[in-house]
Amino acid sequence: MSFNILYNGEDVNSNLVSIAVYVDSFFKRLGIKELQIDPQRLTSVAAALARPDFPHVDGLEKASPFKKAANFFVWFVAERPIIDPIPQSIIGDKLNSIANHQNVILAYQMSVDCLHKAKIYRRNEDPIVLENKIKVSNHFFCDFVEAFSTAMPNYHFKIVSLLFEQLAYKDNRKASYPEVI
Amino acid sequence: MLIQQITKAVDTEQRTTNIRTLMRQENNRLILEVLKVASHDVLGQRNPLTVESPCRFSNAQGNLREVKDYTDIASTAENSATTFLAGLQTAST
Repeated sequence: MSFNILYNGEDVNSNLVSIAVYVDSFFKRLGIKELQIDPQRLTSVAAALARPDFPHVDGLEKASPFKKAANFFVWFVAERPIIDPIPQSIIGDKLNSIANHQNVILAYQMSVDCLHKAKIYRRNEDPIVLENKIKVSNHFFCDFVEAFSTAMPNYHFKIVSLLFEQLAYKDNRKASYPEVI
Repeated sequence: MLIQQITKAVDTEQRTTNIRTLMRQENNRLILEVLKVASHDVLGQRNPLTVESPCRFSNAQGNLREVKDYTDIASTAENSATTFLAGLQTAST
């Protein structure tokens, strides 16, 4: 039986395992054999996804996938659960020089994967599937990591949500609302 | 191996205990004694990071990617890491 990669009701442990498995697998593939994690901060991220006060006026159930992805992103970056930076030998000087880059990179990658194949439900329309995964240039990615390295939920949730939405529409043109303004 | 064990543990009724045990066994790679922090300790508190002014406008609702199991999440993460590394190498050449 399939399940959503994040936001499984109030089941914090399910979210927690999803995030932990993603972190483990992503950094293992990068060639990192040991990685220090703050388990309490990781739990705080998972718990934030199950909070009843999701920052949308109609709550979590009525929120778009972009808001759900953005909420995860800003909480992960703010909580900083990954302690060890990614070695310069893997990501180069530019990314390595940005404080907290390891948490921004992981949160971005998981958010983008969460949005790949995500479903959008609009009134009087068939469900829309975001078939194409978001891709950006290396230049954009480095600037993005720097721009959101100190992201905080209460300041950056909305702007990250808008950015994810437009990035998704860039690679899924049919999913966009008509651009009329 | 870790992923398979976690998947098996989650499929059982005693999953919290099993996962906690697994995480402790895996301390040579990721140290994830995450489940010893009871979720209600975090859930019941008002966090200062909470967004005070929620979004008001939305015509769309939706769900994030669906996965079959935790192995699916692992392979997704590995594929993204592979693409990430390839992108970094392309940029450096």
